[in-house]
Amino acid sequence: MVRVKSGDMNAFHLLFDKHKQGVVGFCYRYCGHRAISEELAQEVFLRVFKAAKRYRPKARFTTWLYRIATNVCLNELRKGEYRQQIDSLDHKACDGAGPEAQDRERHTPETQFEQREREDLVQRELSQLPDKQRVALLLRIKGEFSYREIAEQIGCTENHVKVLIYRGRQQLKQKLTPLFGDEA
Amino acid sequence: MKSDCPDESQVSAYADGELGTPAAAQMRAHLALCGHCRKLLRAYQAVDRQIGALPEISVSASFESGFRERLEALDEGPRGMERLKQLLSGWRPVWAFAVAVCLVAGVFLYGRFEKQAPSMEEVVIVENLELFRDFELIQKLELLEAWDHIEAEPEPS
Repeated sequence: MVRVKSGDMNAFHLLFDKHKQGVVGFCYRYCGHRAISEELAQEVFLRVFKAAKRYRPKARFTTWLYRIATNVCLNELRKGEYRQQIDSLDHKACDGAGPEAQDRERHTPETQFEQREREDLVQRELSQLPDKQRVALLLRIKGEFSYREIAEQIGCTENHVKVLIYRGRQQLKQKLTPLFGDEA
Repeated sequence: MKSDCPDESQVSAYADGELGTPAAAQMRAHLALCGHCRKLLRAYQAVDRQIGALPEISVSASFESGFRERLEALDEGPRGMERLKQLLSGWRPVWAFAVAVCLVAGVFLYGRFEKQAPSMEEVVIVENLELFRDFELIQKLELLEAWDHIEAEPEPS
């Protein structure tokens, strides 16, 4: 990122290639719509490019990157220009993209169907959470950021992050535990 | 839930490894004895697994090309209607309106001030009045100086 700051476009494209999957995935888990998630992700990288000159390596680059992604996602929701959809057809595009998708291929069609239904339900319930709870949970579970980093990304205190994550888990627990139990 | 159970948010934070060392040790000791809190912790961990197991989506083929187009458009800057839309959005119209109001008010007040400015004739009269006052003052001073002589003169019969 320091090289990008000094105008190295190759360095920017390297960063783009390295992080595009993660950012698109984050935006998709946030809004639940493929086309919108890619638009949001493009906006994230545009802002990274524009803000490159102001970048200061105080923390991890990914903390800064997902701070921008969080702002983009939260602002997009406020505009109300998108609708929340669960695109179950997206599962076809997931083949080979990750270990979970590869694992699914070993299952029978019935279990594949059940697994898809489960994923749809989880995504649906995740989309129902209030914005900040949803984004805090995604940053914690998918991004593996600490409470301190999430606080910086969302713009609140660590204690508030703790409460957001707790409430998000509590709500999902109420919806999902009766269906899936506390199985591994 | 027992009365000595910690707040559930503490169990959630423990699941994330976000409790300090003493608090984490206390939580471990409590979990060893409390089935309710252990069940709660397992439920939170199950929720995390469900979210973590959501598969990654593949980036579409057009994502990168679409991004490059937007990046190139950024270098060129907005043109025509887009530029006009950009100018009309945001706080610029508000500032422009405020400046326009100030200008109009300034012109209006200047016009009024100019009407109230004294004419040349008035200026000459004022200057003459000042001279007259000065003359009057000088006359009084001269009278004062000559007072001894005036007092000494006999009264006319």
